[in-house]
Amino acid sequence: MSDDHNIDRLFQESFKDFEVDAPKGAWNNIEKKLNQNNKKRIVPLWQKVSGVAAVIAIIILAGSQWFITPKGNNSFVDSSGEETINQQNLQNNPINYNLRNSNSQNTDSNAVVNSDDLENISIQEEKVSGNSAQNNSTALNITTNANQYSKNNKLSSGLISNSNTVNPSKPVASTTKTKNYTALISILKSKAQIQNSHLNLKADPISTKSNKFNQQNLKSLVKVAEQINNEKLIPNKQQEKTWFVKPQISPVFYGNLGSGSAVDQNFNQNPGQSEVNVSYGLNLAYKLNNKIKIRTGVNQVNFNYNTNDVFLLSSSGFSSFNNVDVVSGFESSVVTSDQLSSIQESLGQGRIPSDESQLQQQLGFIEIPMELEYKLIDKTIDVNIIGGASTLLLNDNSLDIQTGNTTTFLGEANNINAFSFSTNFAIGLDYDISERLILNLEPTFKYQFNTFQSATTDFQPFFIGVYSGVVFKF
Amino acid sequence: MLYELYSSKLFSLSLKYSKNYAEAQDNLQDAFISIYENINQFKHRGSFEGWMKRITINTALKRYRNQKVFSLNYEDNIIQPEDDFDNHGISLQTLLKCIQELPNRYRMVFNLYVLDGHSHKEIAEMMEISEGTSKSNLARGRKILRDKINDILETKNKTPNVKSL
Repeated sequence: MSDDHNIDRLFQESFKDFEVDAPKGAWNNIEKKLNQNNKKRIVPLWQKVSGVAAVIAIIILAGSQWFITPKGNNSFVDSSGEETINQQNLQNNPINYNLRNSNSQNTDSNAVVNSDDLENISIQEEKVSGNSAQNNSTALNITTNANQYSKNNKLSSGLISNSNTVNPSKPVASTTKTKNYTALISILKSKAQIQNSHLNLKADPISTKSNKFNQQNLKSLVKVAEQINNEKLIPNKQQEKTWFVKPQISPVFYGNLGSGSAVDQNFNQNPGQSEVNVSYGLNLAYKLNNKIKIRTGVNQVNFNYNTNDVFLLSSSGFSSFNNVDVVSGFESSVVTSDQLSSIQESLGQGRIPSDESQLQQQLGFIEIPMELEYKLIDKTIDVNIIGGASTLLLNDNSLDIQTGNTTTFLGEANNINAFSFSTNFAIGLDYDISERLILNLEPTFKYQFNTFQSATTDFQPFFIGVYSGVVFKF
Repeated sequence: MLYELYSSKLFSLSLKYSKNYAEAQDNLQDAFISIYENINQFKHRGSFEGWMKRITINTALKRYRNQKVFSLNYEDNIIQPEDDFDNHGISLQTLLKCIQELPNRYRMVFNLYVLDGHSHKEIAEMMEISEGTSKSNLARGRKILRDKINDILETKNKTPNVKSL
């Protein structure tokens, strides 16, 4: 076994830095083979492209001549006699003159074209195609066809109907020859265009271009290698979105970390609890770097705190609300069970009717937070911790008493500061839906201070919310 | 350019996987053609050099598969002079010759396993053989090499001119 190991090590160590220059002629062979391969691959492609282009050109030309022409103001048989034959297409064509001649003759002399003329045109046309020597078999075919058509006077019904629609004002007498003539011109025109397009195709240096491309491709391979190395070194710098806007909503649970009642010290011993309420608003964040965002916004926060085991006496003067501005029309008293029993003791059982009730305090604030968000985990679901403070502006303050199903407005608390604050702590979970959208969930704890005027109560409010929203990135 | 940068590395690799210089040269050519033709398929995953080395080895493996039945003999076995003797007193050139003289499949397995650090499982997949075959081929390859090295060392010890071990 150790013998095996020795053999392995001998070779491993010997070949660790083994490097031999490649033979000098090797590259030439490689280059040759690569060029061969390229040629092999390019030629059929080029043929295909030109073949497809030729077929498309023929289809378009045929279509435009047979189907589009009747609708357009086609020129060569215009009854007004205007010579609007496409000069460019036929410019270098000797038959142009003949065509024009015969065309004007056609219209002037009430469209009598003798067959000699047509023969003449055909022959010249043949010459032309020979002279132009584009070796375009398609064009030649069309030419031959055209000659046959003109000589044999056999036109397809499509062509006949075509020329009929083209020449509505033409005298019927000349139709056959005119039709023939029109068809011939159409075919000549298409031939000229095909030749043109063929020339264009020929002039298009696709093959040379692709050769060049291959050369460049080979040379740029070094650059590719360099680029790959560079890409490893430089991390992807994407245009990061820096602004984040989040409409959010949350249920809020309001609670008391201190003791007693916010309404009056009398109710300190009474049990109380919060109803689930709602907070909603808009959050705006700015990304300072990959880890840290600074955020602000505006939220409406509503709280609801109920004090139980209170009794509504239908007579005023028994209750004291140190912290409440009681509304003027309120003619009852709200007392605790202890107070009730002492009142009943002194006045006699049942003298004053009482109902077990619930004190309901509603508070509303406009909250303006100022927070920092720090990204702890950057995965599919990002985890952020958020800390900061909020300014709270009081905008709703009322106290009700509910007896059975009836709720009576009692007044509003007078011990609540217009400005108060909270310290905030939250854990944010972000899930990227798309490049522009994040789904966000944020359990939040906010501890309020300076909500109540000092020395009026030991009530120490806090609230917990689970904010959720969709973040829009900009 | 790419060829200049990597040809010596890939040629060295080809030398190890081929039975002689000429075959290594062919292998290098085929590998480079393959590299140029498939450059678009490089997904920028992993190192570019590693990718080219894999192509070079695969080219050699393909050659090995095609040559199972019949192989041409090349006469020229010229390797550029290498005078650096290691502590065993055997030149790199000799060691390379030892490898090249191994039967094809032993050479492939030995190279893949010992010099390029592939596992028997990987070798089995690359060469389309079983893991057991890969292991036994390696053992036989090693034995042939060991015998050769011992022979060389013995002859060297008998000759007074050679450096001592």
